[in-house]
Amino acid sequence: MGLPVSLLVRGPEPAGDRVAAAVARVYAELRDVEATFSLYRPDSLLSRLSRGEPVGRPAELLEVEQLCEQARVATGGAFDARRPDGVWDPSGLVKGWAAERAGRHLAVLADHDWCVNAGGDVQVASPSGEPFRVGIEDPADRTRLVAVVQRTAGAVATSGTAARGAHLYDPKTGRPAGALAAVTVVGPSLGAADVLATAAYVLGPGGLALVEAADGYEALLIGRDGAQRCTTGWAVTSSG
Amino acid sequence: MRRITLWLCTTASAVVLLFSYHTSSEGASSTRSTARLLTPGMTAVAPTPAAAAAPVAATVVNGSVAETRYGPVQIQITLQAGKLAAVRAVAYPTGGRDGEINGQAIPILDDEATTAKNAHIDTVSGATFTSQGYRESLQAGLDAAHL
Repeated sequence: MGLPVSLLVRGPEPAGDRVAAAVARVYAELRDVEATFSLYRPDSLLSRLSRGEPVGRPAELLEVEQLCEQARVATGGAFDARRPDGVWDPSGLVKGWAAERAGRHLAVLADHDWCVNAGGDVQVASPSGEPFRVGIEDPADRTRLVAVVQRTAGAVATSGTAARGAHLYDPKTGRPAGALAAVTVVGPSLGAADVLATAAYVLGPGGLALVEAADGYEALLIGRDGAQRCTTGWAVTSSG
Repeated sequence: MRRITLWLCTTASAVVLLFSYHTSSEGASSTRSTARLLTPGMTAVAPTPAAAAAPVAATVVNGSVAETRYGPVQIQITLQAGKLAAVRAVAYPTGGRDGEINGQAIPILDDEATTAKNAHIDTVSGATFTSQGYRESLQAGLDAAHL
């Protein structure tokens, strides 16, 4: 996936064997996911699939296909893994899905807090009750923060083009999406928050209504002009 | 007592990572310690020996070298008593127009990186960052600040 993934574990024994084993499982799983889904690796299952080679269809592939289709329907087509060039590229969904899924290896550490950051998308759990503070970067100046979100559980996902140039497309026009500079979504699931952030980004200001309708999710939209708009529960949820 | 253990995971993927743990709980207010996984290429530099007059040893940590459109960039952070004390670019492209760009950009980033410290954040959410780009070197610096 070409992503740096950071893990933060805090608690009584962060360097203990249990934590080390859990962390190792997280990374082993992420490497497996990458070996399956990376389009940057010519030997990945997805690359072979896209070249029309005969490959098996493991359960993870079927699950991701299903989730992509659900996401496409749920967002009215604003999220679509089918790129304008016809390539089926689920990486917009796989990143959040994989990080959330790998987090279950950390969830067994009931006495430790943990935070996974997969290329800017964050999932946390704080059994201690002490929140993690997640800075949201300013899309106009990535050395600055526009907000700080506090979470004891759940996810913070941001979509935009600041980091990689135009890589998000409006499936309806096939052109790069561009009314907004960035969208950040908070909510229980990183997979869902990531999809909502991508879809809301593509929809532009209309994306606010999409997230408003999603139970348990709130959004902060940042326009090209720096103007900020948020869903009604943003202030409450983002500091909860 | 400080113990740093390093594992090097070798793999061809972009999740090649260097784990760095420490078990320090020194300092009266430190009731919990952290284990932080670092981004590729990051190295933890052993704490510098405390000078005779200095009561607290500084820990210097180098961020990963980020390949930017202007060339490789690397930041270094200094931790003093567990707090981020300084952020400084130790490697950036020089000469020609790149030098001009960096002459302006780097000092500003130094300031802002320190500002991020003032927000006491644990992590950063932003548009997908890949192994390229300077920003993530700052994220790597934040990672390192948890050492």
